[in-house]
Amino acid sequence: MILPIVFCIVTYLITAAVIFPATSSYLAMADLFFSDKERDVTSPHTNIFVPVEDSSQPDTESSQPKQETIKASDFTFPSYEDQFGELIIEDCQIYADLFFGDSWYVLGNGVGIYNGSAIPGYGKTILIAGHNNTYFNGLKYAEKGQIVKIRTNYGNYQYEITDIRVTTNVDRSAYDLNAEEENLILYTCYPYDTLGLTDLRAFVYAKYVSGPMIDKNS
Amino acid sequence: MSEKNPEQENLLEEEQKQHRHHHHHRKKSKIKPVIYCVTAFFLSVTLFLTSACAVVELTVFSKDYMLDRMDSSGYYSMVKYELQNRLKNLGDASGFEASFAQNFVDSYDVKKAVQNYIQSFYAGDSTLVETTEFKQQLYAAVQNYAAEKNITLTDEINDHVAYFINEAANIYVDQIAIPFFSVIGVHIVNAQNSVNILLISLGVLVLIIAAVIFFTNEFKHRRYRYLCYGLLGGALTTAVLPTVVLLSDKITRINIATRSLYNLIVSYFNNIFYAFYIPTAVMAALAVVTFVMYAKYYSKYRNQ
Repeated sequence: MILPIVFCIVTYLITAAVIFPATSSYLAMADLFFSDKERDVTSPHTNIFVPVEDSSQPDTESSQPKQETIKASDFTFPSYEDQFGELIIEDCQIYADLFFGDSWYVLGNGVGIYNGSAIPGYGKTILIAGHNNTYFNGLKYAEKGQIVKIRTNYGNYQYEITDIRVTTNVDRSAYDLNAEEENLILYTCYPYDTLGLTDLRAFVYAKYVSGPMIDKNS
Repeated sequence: MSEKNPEQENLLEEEQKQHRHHHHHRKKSKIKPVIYCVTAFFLSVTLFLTSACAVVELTVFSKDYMLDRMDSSGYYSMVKYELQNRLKNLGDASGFEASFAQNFVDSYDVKKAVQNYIQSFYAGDSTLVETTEFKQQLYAAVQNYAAEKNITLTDEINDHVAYFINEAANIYVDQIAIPFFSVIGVHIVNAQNSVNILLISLGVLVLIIAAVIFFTNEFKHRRYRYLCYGLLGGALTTAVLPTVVLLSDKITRINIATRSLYNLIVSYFNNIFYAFYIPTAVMAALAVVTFVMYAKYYSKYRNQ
């Protein structure tokens, strides 16, 4: 009864010889649609936020923030839709969980970093979205000089609001994702507290004040 | 030199004749098994191809299969949940309370809209999702909400509400429609006739090959033996493909962000591969029958 096994092997060998040369490039491309592990559909997101001790308080003698460096290998990078911190603007009464990504799930549970921008400490633009009727409703009270605190699973950061601007959702000049210095941009729909939707967005710009920088080469 | 009498000569001639016949018969029996093995191999291949075509016909081209998978994977309730949350999300950006979206989305309406979309697709109609009714219902719900909250719908607010309704309709279409379905679907509908013809042709070919094996073999046990080889080969070949795919867990690792669609696609493709085990089982059962027949006739042949 070895013959049926031989039939099976020969059939697949012939099929492979005929099909693979013509389809190998498509098969390699199809591999892009698959990840390394099975998707966990039971839990909506992972919370990796464990507050770290604040070690970057301003130096009392020089009044300058103490800048530390942390190795990228020393902490867990958030995956899409992971909660990895919190965002606080006390002057605006904003206390929101911070997620990586800006899906409807994220924006229904807090504020989220656009995944084409950077995470705090990376030395680039951090673009954070939130809804004007919920977590970012307090942005209507934003003023220059107010402090934005971001606490993450790897360090605590402070930024100072420098500008507020209202523009359309297609205005690309409202943000620069290629900036080579750490800066924070918060944005939400505009106007606040009204029924319906417009194409206007409110942008709040803030400069880096303190927090550990990530050593990208580590 | 001794002289042979005529009787002895006749006997010798008869012996030589029998020897020649026997030798010829042995020469023929060396080629025949090879020919029948090759024929059994073709039977195995055509059975495998027929099974694959039959599975594609009963799953990929079947509206009922799609609707059945939607039911089993909890697609409708998941779509409702996602639509509700995405509309709530839009409401968070548009001044609506969370309860607005929760109360607006109805399970029956979602199921009906999805089924209409699938049915029109398999009927070869346009696969656009109809949004007129959705927009009208949403506008009525917004008016009721504004009345409850004592909000006057000024011209400016009405413009904002119209923008909100259009965005909500886009979300609705996005949730009801299956991505790339209309693009892939055209090819699927076009391929259906070709696969039907291929399936019938392969079925006929299977019968012809089986008939050749059955009616050209002089010994009954050999008829069943080669049929058994072909059937078992076909069963093995048909079983290997789904087993490899299912054990690799490849389908469950597909990158689809929407939970409803992920569950549907995984269920849809996994069950296509599970369906391969049905023709496998049929062929295996027939192989057992032919093997029993082979054993029966072989014992008769040996006892002769």
